[in-house]
Amino acid sequence: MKNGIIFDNVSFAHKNGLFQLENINLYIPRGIFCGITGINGSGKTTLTLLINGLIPHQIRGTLKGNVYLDNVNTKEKPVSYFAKSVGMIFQNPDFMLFNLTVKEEIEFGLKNLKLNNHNLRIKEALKIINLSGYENRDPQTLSFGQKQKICLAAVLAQDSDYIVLDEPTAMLDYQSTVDLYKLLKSLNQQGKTIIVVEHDTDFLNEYTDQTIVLNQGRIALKGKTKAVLSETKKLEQIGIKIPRLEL
Amino acid sequence: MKIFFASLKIIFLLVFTIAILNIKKYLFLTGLLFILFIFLWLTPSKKLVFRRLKILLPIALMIFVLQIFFNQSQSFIWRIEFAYSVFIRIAIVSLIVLFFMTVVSTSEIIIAFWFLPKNIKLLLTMTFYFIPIIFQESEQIILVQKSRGLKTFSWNIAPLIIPLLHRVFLRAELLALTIISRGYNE
Repeated sequence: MKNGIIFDNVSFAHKNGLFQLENINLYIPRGIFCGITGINGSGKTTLTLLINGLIPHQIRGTLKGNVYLDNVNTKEKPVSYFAKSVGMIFQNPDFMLFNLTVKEEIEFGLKNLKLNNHNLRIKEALKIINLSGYENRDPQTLSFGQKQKICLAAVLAQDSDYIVLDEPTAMLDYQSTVDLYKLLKSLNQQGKTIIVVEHDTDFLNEYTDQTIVLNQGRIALKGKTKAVLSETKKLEQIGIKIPRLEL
Repeated sequence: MKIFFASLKIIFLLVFTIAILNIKKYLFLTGLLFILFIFLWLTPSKKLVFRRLKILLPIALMIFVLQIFFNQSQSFIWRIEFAYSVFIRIAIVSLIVLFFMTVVSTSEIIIAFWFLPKNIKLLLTMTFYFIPIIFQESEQIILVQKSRGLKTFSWNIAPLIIPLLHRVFLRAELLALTIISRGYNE
């Protein structure tokens, strides 16, 4: 089997019927910058929750098919097994940050994963996100963009191979969004696999290599970003913003 | 060293509180309350003292009313004295806790409980995380509901409580997912 993330005929229905996926067959190779888009309720977040096993281990429902992360079936191992290799960043950083200082926040994952050189890792991670010297700040007093960056730093400190971001720019202003995407692109160039859920197809067009378009829990389009986003008629039908393409 | 000072502050608070609850000399307690009040009034936490007094006064009233009307087995003077002694202790402990919270950071409090198991310490951190968040969320919800025409929450707290519970539960749920996805496995 190939390294990367494989969705093998995956279907999922939440027990309260809130979200579902149907017949997802997908291969996300290592080292790629992959975008996922779709209208609200199309299953984007559900797809990301399958990557590190939060579904089915934490979120119950009916799961059919298998998800493999570097050839390991996510059903067979606990979430903690995948925590080192998959760094998850949710839409709202306010829901993620709970420690009293930035240092403790980043250190939380390092302690859980029993990684060493905490101080060095924290320093390096903060340097990458341009927030050096913020170790003792209270995360709740930072701006929204800075909070989002701290969540990213927590993932960077644990040196995850896969970074999954669920609508990270939903509450960011334009400049912060551009800064975040530039940072993600540079991480991708250093070998990290980036998977980002995004509504703004202009950013997907500019930064991602591959794009997956979901519609009502199914894959509507997938492939190279330029090719996918040039299917303007189909995108319009689904209700996705047509990017300002320069094809 | 950090652990030592943090623990020292907690121990001081505990010893002071126990001592206050056991001192029987009302004059001494009154003097102590007065000194504490003046001291806090001179610090930047003046606003907090005022707010705390607003909470303490109805409590005092309630204690006096309960003693005067519902404790008929003792003389009137005894009941007044007893109510005063209860109130003055509550007031001193309340003000000293207020002072403690202004000089001790929440991270210091958690450090002081270094001997607790990891799970309990995490629980403590979460509690400290949620307290200000509940207040922030309440303030936001109040603004939203007032902008929708609600004048008071006195008779109907549902417009405040229901969205507040919903938001707090949502936060807790997402926080749980975050913690698990960051390798927490206990």
